[in-house]
Parts: sequence; C-alpha cells; structure tokens
Amino acid sequence: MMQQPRDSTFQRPSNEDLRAIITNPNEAKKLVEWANRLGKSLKDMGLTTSQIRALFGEVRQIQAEWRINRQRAFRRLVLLRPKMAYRARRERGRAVEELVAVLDPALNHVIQADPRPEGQQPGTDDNQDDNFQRFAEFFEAILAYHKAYGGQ
Amino acid sequence: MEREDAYRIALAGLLHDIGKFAQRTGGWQGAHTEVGGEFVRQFVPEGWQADLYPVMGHHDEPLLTYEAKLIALADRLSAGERLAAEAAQPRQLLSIFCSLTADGQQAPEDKYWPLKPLRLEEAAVFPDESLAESQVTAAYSALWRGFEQETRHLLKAHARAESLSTYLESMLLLLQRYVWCVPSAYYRSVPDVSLYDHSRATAALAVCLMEQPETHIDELLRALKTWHQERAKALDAPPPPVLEETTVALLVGGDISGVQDFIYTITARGATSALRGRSFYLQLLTEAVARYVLRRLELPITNLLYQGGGHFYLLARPSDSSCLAEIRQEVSRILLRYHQGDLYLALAELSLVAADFYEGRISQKWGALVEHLRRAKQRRFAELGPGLADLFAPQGHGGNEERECQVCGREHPGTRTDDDVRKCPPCLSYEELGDRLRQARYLWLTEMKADDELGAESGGWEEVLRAFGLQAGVAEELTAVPNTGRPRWILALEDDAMDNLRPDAHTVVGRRLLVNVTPVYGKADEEWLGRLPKAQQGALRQELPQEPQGKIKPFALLEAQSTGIPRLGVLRMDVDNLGTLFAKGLGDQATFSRVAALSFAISLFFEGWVEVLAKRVGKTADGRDRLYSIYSGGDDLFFVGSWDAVVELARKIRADLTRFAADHPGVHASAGIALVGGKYPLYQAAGDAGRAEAQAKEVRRRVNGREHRKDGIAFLGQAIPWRQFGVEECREGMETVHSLAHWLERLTRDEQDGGAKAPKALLQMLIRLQEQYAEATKERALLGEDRNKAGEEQVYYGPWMWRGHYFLKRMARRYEKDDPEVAKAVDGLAEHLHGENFRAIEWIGLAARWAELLGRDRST
Ligand SMILES: [Zn+2]
Repeated sequence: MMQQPRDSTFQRPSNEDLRAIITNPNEAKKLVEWANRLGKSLKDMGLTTSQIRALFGEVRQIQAEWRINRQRAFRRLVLLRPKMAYRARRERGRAVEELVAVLDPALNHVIQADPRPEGQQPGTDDNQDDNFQRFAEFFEAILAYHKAYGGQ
Repeated sequence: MEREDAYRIALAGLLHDIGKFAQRTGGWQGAHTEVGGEFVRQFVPEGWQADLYPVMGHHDEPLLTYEAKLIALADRLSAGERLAAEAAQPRQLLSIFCSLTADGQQAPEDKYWPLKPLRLEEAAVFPDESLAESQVTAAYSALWRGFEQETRHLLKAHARAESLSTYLESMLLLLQRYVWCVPSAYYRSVPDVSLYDHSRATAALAVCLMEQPETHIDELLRALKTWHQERAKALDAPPPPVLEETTVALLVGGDISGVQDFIYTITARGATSALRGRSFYLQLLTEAVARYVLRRLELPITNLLYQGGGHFYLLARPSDSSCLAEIRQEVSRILLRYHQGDLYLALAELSLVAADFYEGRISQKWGALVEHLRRAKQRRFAELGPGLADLFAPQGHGGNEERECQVCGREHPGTRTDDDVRKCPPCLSYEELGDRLRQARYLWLTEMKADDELGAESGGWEEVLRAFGLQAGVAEELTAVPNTGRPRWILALEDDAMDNLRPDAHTVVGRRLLVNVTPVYGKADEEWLGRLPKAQQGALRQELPQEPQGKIKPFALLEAQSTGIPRLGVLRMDVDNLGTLFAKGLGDQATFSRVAALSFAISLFFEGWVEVLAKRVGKTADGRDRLYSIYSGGDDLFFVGSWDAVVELARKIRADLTRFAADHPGVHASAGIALVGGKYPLYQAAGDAGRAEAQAKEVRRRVNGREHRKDGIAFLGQAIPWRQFGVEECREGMETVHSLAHWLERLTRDEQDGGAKAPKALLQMLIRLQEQYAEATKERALLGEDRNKAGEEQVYYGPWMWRGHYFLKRMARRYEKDDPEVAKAVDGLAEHLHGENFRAIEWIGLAARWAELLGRDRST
C-alpha cells in the first residue's frame, strides 16, 4: 500500500470503489464521478499531459492489439505496472505518483480476473476482457476531465 | 303534419329554459318558467307562440298538457340527474375539462368559460378564474343585449311564421353563439353544462319521445319520480322496470370511411388545390348525408348532435329503425355510383332506454355505438346484397392511357388536359373547390329535391351533393350567394363576416367554424422571389401556375420559403386517448348533456382555435403565408407547410390545448412531423407523418414513480415527450430541445446575420455524442440493463460524458480571447451537461440537428 499524500485535498477512491469501477458494468456513474474528481485534482497538482502521454499511448495500443493477439496484448498489460511505477518515480511533482496510485490497483483488478467465458456477451460483470475496457475508459475519462479543467 | 309537430316540440325544447338566461341579467322578475313565457310573448313570432306553452308549463305540478309532459321528461333525461328545486344558480359555466378524470388525474383548479359571445378570440375561448360577483350581472346583461338584438332580427324576418324549420335552426345557431357559456343551472352538483347543450339535447329527446302515448309518458315520469325518491334513501336503488324496458330513442352514428386514401392518394400534380378541395368536399359530404338522413326521417336539425370530420351522431325515434335500413342502402348506392367504393358510409344505431341517461351509462352506450360503426365498416356495402356489391370492383379496364387521370389515377371518359396535366372531371371539380375556398368568407347550402335519376358520367362533387338533395358553395361576398327561394343556409366562415349577415324567412344564418388556412401567392411572395438569385428564381417560377397572384402556392414554393434547409413539413396530430376520455372520463357523472359539452369543447378547439393559431404562426414578418391546412376537425389535424413553421405550429397547438383544457394534465395530444421534398408523393408523406405520430404515441416517461404515456412529438426521427421538447414561447436556453435549438442556431450563425459564429463542428459533435449514446443504450436495452429495479429508465454513463465535457471545455477555451461570448456560451453548455444533468444527452442531438437544419445555408 502506498502512503496517503500529504496534500489532504487529494482524495483517492477506496479499493472497493475501484473494484466497482473496473468490474461492474452498472457502476459507470461511479467511474464518471471519480474520473471527474481525479481529473480536477490532478490538474490542480500540475499534472501535464506530456508526463503521462507515453502511458496512455501504451494503453491505447494494447486496446488495439487486444482484438488481434490477445496473449501478446495481455503480456504488455502486465508490463504496464512496472512502467507506471517507473514513471511515478521519475516525473517531477507528486501528480503522476498520485495518478499511478489510483491506476495501479485498478489495473490489478484487470490482471487478476479470468478471461470472459466463451459465448458470453461483451460488457458484462467481472472478467478480464471487459475489465480492461473499463480500465481504459477510466484512464481516458480522467485525462479528458483533466484537460477539461484546463490541464495542459 | 307530423313533421310540423316535431318542429314545434323541438322549438319548445330549445327554448324551455331560456328564462334562466334572462333572469341572470337582473332585469326580469319571476320564476324561470314565467320569464321564459314572457320571452316567448315578446320575441317569438305570434304564429308559433301557441306551440310554446311547455316553456311556461314544463315545471307545473301537475303537468297540464301532453307537450309539457314531453318537455318535462326530455328535460330530465337530458340532465340525467335528480331534479332539484330552484336552487341557487351558479354564476358561470365551469369548463367541462374540470369534471374530467384522465390519466387518473384532474384539473388543478376550477376554471370558467368567459361570459362572451362565441368568437375566436383569446378573451372568449379560454377558460379563466371566475368573475367577481359584482361583474357577473353586467356580463350577463351585455351578453343578453346581443342575444336580444339578434332575436329581434329573427322575429322580424319570421313575422309571418312561414318556415318553422328555418326559424328553429336560426335560433339554434343563435343559442350556440350566445348561450354556449351560460350554465344550465339545473344541476344539483356541478355547473359544467351549458344551457345551449342542455337545451338542444332536450329538444332532440322531446322529438323522439313523441312516439310514446301520453299514458306512457305519464308512467315514465312517475317511475322517474319514484326512482329519485328511492335513490335519495339508497344510492344504488335499481330503476323501476319501465325505465329499463322502454326504448325512448335511437342513438344513430354515421362514419365515412376511406377518407385517408381519398385525400392522400393523389399525385403531386396539381395537388395543392385538389387536396384542400377533396378534404373540404368530405366535410360537405358528411353534412349532406347527415341532413339527408334527418330529412328522410323527418327530424328537425336539433336532433343532429354532432357532425364534422367524416362522422355525425343524431338521435332518432325508436320506430325509425326500418327506415334507417332503407337509408343505408340509398346512401351506399349513391356513394358507390360516384366513388366506385372509395368512400363508404357506415351507419349504425343503438336503442336507448330511459335508464341509459343516468349514472354515466350514456358514455358506455356511445362506446358501443362506435364499436357498431367499426364493425359496419368491415362489411362495406354488405347492405347492397351480393349483386350490387360486385360493382365496386375496380372500374377501369387498364391501359387506356388517354382516359387515365394523372392526378388520381382513375380512368374516366371525360378527362381533359389542364396546365399540361390530364385530369378527370371529379379531380377538376375538387381543384376548383379548393381554389374557391382560399378567399371564401361564406359557406352556403340550399336544399333541393334529391335527384331521382342519378347523375350521368361526370361525377363532380356538386353532383354527388345534389344526389343527397343539397346544393352547396362558398362565396367571398354575400351578393354571390344564389337565392332560389328555397330554404337556404348562409354560414359565416369568419367572425367579421357575421356582421353583414341577416336572416330572412327562408335563410338560416350563423357562424360555421372551419379551419381554412390557405397560403395564397401575393405581393410579398413576388418581392421575396425577386430577391433570390436568378437561377433559383427561374426554377421556382417554373413551378408557379400562370398568373399566380391569388392562387394557392405550390408545395415547391412553400418548401423554398422554409428557414434553413428547404423542406416541406407534414404534421399530423391528435388528442391522446380520446375514446377513453369520452367513455370513462366523466365517470358516473356522464350525462347526455355533458357528453355533448365535451364534444363541443373539443371541436371548438380543433375546428376553431387551431385556425387562429395557424394564421398567426404561418405569417412571416414580411407577409408571406407558409402554412396550409388540409384538414382540422373533430380531434385531429393535418397540416402542410414550410417545415420550420410546421414545427412551431405543432408546439403552439400543444401549448394552447393545455390552456384550453383548464390545464388538465390528462388532456394531451401527440404529433408526428415528417420533412419531405416538395415533389415527394403526398400519400407517402402522409404515411411518414402518420408513422411519426404513432412513434410519438409510444413515448413514455416516469415522473415521481408514475408512468406517463403518449403526449409526445416525433420529429427528425426521434420521439420525445412534449415537456422535454418544449412548448414555451420562442426563446433561447438549455432547458428544452426547442430553446436549445434556437440558442445553438444563433450561436453558430454567421456574424453578419446576427450570430456568434461558433463553429458548426459544435453541432456535429453534439449529434455524434447522442448517436454514441443512442447506440450504447440500444445495446444495453438488448441486455435488459436499461432499467433499474424500479423499472425506471437509467441515464447511461459512458464515454460520451467525458468526451463531450472535454470537447466543449476545450472549444470554450479556444474562444476565450477572441470571442468571449462564444466561450461563455459553450462553457455554459459543458457545465449544463455535467453530472446528473447529463439526461440531456437523450435530446441534445435532436436540438443540434434542428439547429443545423435551421442554419443550413441554402446556397450550398
Ligand atoms: Zn382524377
């Protein structure tokens, strides 16, 4: 577990909230609410898009690859965790660290889930494929709100 | 002789309570029967005064004459409630909508019709708070003065008492104008029935009761009295058997079917005038048939309860049944002859016993009659027997092109070419009628002997009416109305046209409500055309008839005169659940008079007020008319016009319907609008609009856990509740589709046109957002996840939310420096769409598409 940040205005979703956001298709409202709140806080902390462009780019590429070569995509996904940790340490300021502190446990809910059973509709409860889609959406939403609040 | 008697009784029935009106002016002393008697002595031609004893005597104890007994019984049945002694009189007429339960709801507060003569004016037509005590007598006095003056004209015209039927109908129309808003103070409970409706219902019933011998009338009156006394002790006391066993009248309904196809299945060639003509002809035909039935049964006009929009209802005597069967055959034979089976009149009847007028039973009877009519329509022409029915197999022989009409597609021997189009005589006759209607201020009718020999080949509308014994026409000036010395009617189609109208011994005069909104080519159009670029001007001039001044504008011109994208708008709209309103809305308060009052109120709106709205909304600031009424009556309407004007009209009608219906939340209407090109086949456009209307009827929304159905509009393919669409005055804002559309349109308009020049990409983005949302919602609905546990539809959270927010915020920032207004507006939109407000995603795309069409540059 990471430490709570010194800046007390920064609120992080609990692990329960994160689990809901990533594994439950009916909790999209929670996803939006948290993304909005996080986007604003990260902007206030001075997060810049360039600090995380590489990470988000990687997620987008994995998303594209998922349909073509699921196994390779999954491997890249697992490698995303150390990449995020590296970014969190390297970038100046606490913003990236805070973001990663949210994304990392979220990603964990993807990696630990089982693949979607054969024949099951997309967009359903707790399974790796849909959880990953929701993770990507969550990431995208945080960045969208971050920019909407004036993040550069 | 019998016929003459029926008219006398009808007149007595019509005037039996006139004393109540007079009393309210404060200037007449005595019981209402005495005042009524005095009115008869002063205002009714001497020759008929002796027939009107029942006006004075219908409350006598005991009742002294047979006629007085007839009126007394009819009076009680029409009222359908227990007779109270001369109770305190209600000051004003409560809107019938305040007695209505619909969607399980009622009107929020009591509203009263203004005490004004019937004119299509805001101050007369819309119900309001009740007047202060001090104003009431003055209002009645003013109303009475007008009535008295007209009655004097009538007295003078009929000084020699020659034609009772003419006098009776003139008096009926007079009562409609002046007494429509006077409460019939009879009722113990709610004063929601006008003296006009009560009086005509009494007249109709009295005529039917004439078949009962006096001893039987006595028996019925006694039984009613007994029943009233028993009901005072136990509310559910059953009626004495005689009230259940004696048929006192037949409720007769007529319904013309095939109307839709008849109006719409014509080609676009020459359609503009033909369309209006066809629709109006159907109205005349309904009237001609209704009057034909009355004449054949020797019934006075007061027995006609309602006629309009392809159907009529009347009250006949129990013994008229066999004659009705003959009439059914006669009517079918005439219609078959002229319309080859395209039009059919279903005629059905239902016996009424005395008890049917009580405890709300009359509305079930009405419902049953409608069901009979429906079944009769499924057996079209069955009454003609197998041989004759074969005749309505398709007539043409196929392939004979020279004889085929290019408007209706029928083969006809007399076709001729007109404006390069081959037309049959009937089609030409409809066109001519439509053309004459555009300036019409009067409708006239003359009775004539029905042709024994049916007309030969031509079959224009005039011939058909003649076969029913009626000659008809429209005129702009009174001098153009023919006078053959036979009974005739002159009916003003505008309030102002009433002023020059005077009755005479053989002429009935009155006001006829008719939605007659025709876009006529005029100076303003010529100037508008002159301002267009040469090429476009030339193309449009090609569409115009030779010497277009004063002629109906072709669809192509209405299309071109739209704001934004050039399209023709086609509107269909009707009251939701009308059948249920009539069958159940009044509950056990449903009486014969109340049902009549509700029907009168609904036609007043759709046959009267809608015209005022359409004329107002259709006119541009520079004086061009852009709306065309094809039909409006009963409870529904069909309009064509420049698309943007059509949408505004629909909104206005919906808004005013609520105001008219005393803000009753359960009285609502659904509308469907289709946008088509000016050359698109009309029957397809009518079908498109019809499907849109059906889509609007599928609308449902939940408010406070309660599901509301219908009350929607379908526009640009999307159905949405009116509340969300917006019925407010035109203004900009974010609360409704309508206000947002206007706002977005101005925002994205060019600066030189008064806009803020925000990029059109804004509209595209909003449209795409909603598309994404709609698609995701559809998928979710397939998974059954679109509702929560309470069954309520959920706002679906998804990428469109953050993407939309991001996009709008970014756009706002981009404009911050150069154009703060745009920046502020777009930023406001982003905030508005945030969080819970994102419900707007369901309609924001519709607003954006509307704005886009409004702002579409016509040169590209
Ligand atoms: Zn034709």
